[in-house]
Amino acid sequence: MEEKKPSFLQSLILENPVFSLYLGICSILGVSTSLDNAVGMAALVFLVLLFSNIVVSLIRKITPGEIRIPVYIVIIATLVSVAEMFIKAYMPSLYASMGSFISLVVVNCIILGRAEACASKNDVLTSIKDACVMGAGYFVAIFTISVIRQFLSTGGWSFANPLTLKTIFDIKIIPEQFTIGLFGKPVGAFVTFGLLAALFAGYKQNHEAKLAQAAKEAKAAAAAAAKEAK
Amino acid sequence: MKFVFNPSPNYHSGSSTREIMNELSCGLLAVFAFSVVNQAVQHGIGNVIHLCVMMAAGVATAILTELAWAKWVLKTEPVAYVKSSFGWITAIILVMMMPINMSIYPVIVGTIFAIVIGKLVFGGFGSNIFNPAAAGCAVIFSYFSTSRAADIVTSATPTSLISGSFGWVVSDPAVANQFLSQFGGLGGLAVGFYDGSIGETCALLLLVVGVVLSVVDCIDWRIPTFYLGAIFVFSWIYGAVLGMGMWYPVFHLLTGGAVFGAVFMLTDPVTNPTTFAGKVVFSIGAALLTVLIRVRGSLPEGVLYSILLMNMLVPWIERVCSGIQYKDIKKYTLITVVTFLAGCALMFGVGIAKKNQLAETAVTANNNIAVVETMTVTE
Repeated sequence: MEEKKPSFLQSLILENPVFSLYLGICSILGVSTSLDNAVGMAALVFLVLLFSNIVVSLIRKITPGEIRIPVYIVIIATLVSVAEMFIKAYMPSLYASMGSFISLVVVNCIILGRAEACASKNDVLTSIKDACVMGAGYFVAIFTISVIRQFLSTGGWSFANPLTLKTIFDIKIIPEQFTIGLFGKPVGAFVTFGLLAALFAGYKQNHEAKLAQAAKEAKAAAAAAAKEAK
Repeated sequence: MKFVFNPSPNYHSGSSTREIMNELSCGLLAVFAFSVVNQAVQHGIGNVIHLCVMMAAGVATAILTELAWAKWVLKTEPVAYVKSSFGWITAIILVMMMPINMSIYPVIVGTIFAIVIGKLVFGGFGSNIFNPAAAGCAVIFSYFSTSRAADIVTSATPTSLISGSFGWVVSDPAVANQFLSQFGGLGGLAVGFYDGSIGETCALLLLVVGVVLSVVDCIDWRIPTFYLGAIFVFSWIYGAVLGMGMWYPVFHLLTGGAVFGAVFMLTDPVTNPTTFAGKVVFSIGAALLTVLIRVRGSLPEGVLYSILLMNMLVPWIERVCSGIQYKDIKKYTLITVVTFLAGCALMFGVGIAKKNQLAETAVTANNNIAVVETMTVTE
């Protein structure tokens, strides 16, 4: 029987690098305080992931197996340094608010993990696809967490264009005295992350149970059909 | 034969979890009744109304949260779930730990946090790692410390006074007497007509409730006994090194929720170790942390965080202390005695360090005065 492939949206949940594989959590916990930071971080991680996947995939045939990890790290570190300089030059406010988390993208496990697990074994096109799915998964994770955290800790959402610093939207729903400062702090990041990870795990478990149930039914139906045929 | 599997607490004393929790509720109600009287006597009807609103808000939030959780997350029978989950006890303990002028909104948020994050996400009653009420209190004290109800009368509490003005060191007996006489001496502190967290002021009543609850097998007498005893010894050592009299350890026992925490929070059967030796080590550790946080930490009060920190160490204590207690009695006695002596030694060292520090500051102050005097002389 042909196995049903999960749709793109489903794979965002089932193979989410953050909530299912628990990779790259450091930056998620650190910079998910506001939408500005979250979107900036997600874009940065996506671009670095994309280019590192492309480069690693291009040189996969000439990379000696014994020293592949140092090679990947040099590639990723180069890309991150380039990105860091760009951000420092063109988006100084984003640079200030993300601080050292920009350089910490070097050690983001998603990027090294995908270089090792996918890009080093596949051609360029597959690697680009993989980077897109993983980057989208990272975006979903950090965006969801920052939506919750910014809403509870500041009472609303605001988003500004990182290049021009022009406010695109700024909504306030909860009055100042009813905000919960906890969610702006690392404690809030851990709590939000834990709850969301539990939700994702619950969905995954449900999904697997459903698949197993479907497989069982199909088998029973096939057995019944075979019996009838006899 | 039919086996029944339950998460801890698994009692074998014949009384069911429900009976135990009902007895605990009665004990808490007695303490609550005293705090109502205390507020009425000291500050009048306005504070009593605020106190009742706080309590109602906390209990209602706890019950509604559990109803919602049962209905939409677990999809079970909500009323039966709430009845077997005992969320109101968490809410009552949490409100008892608040200062009287706390506004209502933090109480609601703290209760939701205590119930959902502290208890329900771990699997509900019997599966939580941390004392839920303590977790909720920690959130309120860390993030809503400035959120106060405007029109509630209150005065400084003994713990905030001694930590704020004296840094928990009052060597001069005259100053100590003057300080204590604000609250009617040690006797006044025991009777409890002064300001403090809502439920913690009347140490005598709390002790009576504790004894009654121990007699009816509702709480384990060993934990409060060893906890309070260890607080007494540790603070006595610290006080003796710094030249303070016997009032100092008694003051440590009577103020700042030590007795309340001992009777109602540390004894929570879910979050403390199961063996005798484990319970003793747990209590001594909590006492040591309480005294250390008070005398050396930046917080005025240490009971709450000591409970949370010791909750975290429970699995480790269980691993060291689990086994047949009477069989290896030497080993377990050794473990508890070593823990206790290590605590004593630590308190002694901390006392010496504080003494040196005080002497140094005194010397620098004297030098400064001397310098100023010489300068005036030369002028």
